[in-house]
Amino acid sequence: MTHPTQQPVVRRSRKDLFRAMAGLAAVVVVAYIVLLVVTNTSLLGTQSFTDLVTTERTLGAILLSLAMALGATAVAMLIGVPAAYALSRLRIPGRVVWDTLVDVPIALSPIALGIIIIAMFSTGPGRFLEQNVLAFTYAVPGILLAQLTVVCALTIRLLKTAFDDVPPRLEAIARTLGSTRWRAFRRVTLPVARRAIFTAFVISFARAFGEFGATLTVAGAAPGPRETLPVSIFLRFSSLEVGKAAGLIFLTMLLAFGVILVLRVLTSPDLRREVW
Amino acid sequence: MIELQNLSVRFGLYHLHEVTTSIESGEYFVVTGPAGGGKTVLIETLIGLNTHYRGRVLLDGVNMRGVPVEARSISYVPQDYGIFPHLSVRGNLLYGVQERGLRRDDVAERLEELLDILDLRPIVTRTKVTGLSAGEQQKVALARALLSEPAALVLDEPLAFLDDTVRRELMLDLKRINAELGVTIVHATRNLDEALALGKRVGVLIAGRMHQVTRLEGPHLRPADTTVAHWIAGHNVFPAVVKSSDEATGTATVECGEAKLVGRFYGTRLSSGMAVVVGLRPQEAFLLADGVAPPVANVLDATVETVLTYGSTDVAVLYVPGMQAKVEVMVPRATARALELAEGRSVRLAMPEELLWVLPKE
Repeated sequence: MTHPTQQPVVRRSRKDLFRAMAGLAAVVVVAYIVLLVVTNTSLLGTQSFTDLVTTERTLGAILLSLAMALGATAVAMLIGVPAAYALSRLRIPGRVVWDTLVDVPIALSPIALGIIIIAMFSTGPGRFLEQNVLAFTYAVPGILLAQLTVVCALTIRLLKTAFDDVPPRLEAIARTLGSTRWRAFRRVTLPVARRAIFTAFVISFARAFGEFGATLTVAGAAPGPRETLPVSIFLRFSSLEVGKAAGLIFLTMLLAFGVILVLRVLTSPDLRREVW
Repeated sequence: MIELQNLSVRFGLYHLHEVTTSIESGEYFVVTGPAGGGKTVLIETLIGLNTHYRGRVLLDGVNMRGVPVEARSISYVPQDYGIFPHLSVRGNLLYGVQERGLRRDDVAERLEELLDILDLRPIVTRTKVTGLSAGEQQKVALARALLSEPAALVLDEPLAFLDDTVRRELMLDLKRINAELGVTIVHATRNLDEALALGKRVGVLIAGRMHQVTRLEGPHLRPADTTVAHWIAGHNVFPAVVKSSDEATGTATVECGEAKLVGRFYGTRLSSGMAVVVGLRPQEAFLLADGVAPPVANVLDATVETVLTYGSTDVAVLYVPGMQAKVEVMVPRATARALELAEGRSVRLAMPEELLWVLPKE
């Protein structure tokens, strides 16, 4: 006996359509990135790439970029882990306000942040610091500070999410088993959150590696010892050396892909198994 | 020994009012009451997770104010077990041993004992805890909590998420742990049957107040007041008037509707003409088959209004003309079948006089 309005017993599943749409979106994104790479490659001079890469200027830019990005990311993690933990766990009055304040630098343009940093060093204490301790403006440490300022908010946001995903109850149990707060963090929260923490590191590194605006404002843009890869690309492009700019872009892509892939595989046990 | 003295907590929606009670070493103490009654706040204060309280918490005579969680020697198992997902089964078991700086040799014997009691040998070598069933996780959590020989084990709804069979198995395990290892257990549960099955003493916490703390002499709880009566008996609480009472035996005869009922009273003196309530839990009343000689008191004719088939028992709602009231009674499936229990059927309801309590009306 079938009721007239009864649904058919087996309804055609829409799951396949959904999966197709999701797959299509992924294909579009990947295809677009491939298009960017191919376009860029077409701008490359045939034999000039190897020459470009092996010049002292380019090698210097590569080393400086890697060192600054790794340094800034390391400092961001050192500050970010405790700060994000505090924002995630402590009952600070007005926590939502502090939490939101941390996000503000993400919305500011890097050049704006750079301007503020420069302004900071033109104040009395800032000048004293530059003259007696360490020079930042138009100096290499300024690059690291600029990248750190841009990246830190993002790092904290990612790390806070990582800690939010670890139930506080696990720490409570660790403490009833004899762990101090620090030991509970060290032996439970940190290892449980480790995957998300590694992701925060990788994303922060990528952001720092590509940083241009704040670096330009704080450390200037001139060929030589303060020239990171993004600055170098800008300088070549400005002096109408499009082929060389394209070469450096290609190099940046290769380095970013290589470093991020290595970091990702090293820090994720599941992926390590998948790759080997 | 754990002592709570005038313990008060006010924390957002959670509250406790002046809770005073003590728990002897080796005792199985169950805190029960409806959800939101304050059981978890009580437990978190005892463990040291909640430090905003008034009053005192004493552990073996030492005031615990300012003593951090890790220095208290009270182990804790919450309802979601809290297995550390990044450690192996053995890593979970030995966590507290390492953190308290004990040597594995010191706990080897204890570990063997716990593996036996909780039947953990089949899973102790597992490197991943993600595949463990709920019951297995709970057993690992219990063994982990007990391995470093705490002064007390605190359980918050430890059986709430388990299947019936696993729950029964764990109840037996908990009884054994308490009896064989002599561990003091404080166990919070909403489930009164669980409380009555396990507790040597039971505290009833409703809306932040400890209404009674009672040493059990069987699987029955005598409510101390009408609030507890309503919680444990649901609809089976009826207004009545005292006809006579006997102080020596604690027996009172009351008039409920037109029916005469005989029940027991405790503490408060009852006088003739006093307004009271009488009642009992649905699982404490029973039905008499035709031709069975009735007990002396409290047998009433009734009509079945509805029957709910639930698990291995049926819940029957009876209309009792003598009492002019509806009475709920739980009937084992086999009995229900023998009595041909169905809507409209006439039955005889018996309410054992030693289980029918009489309380002053508030």
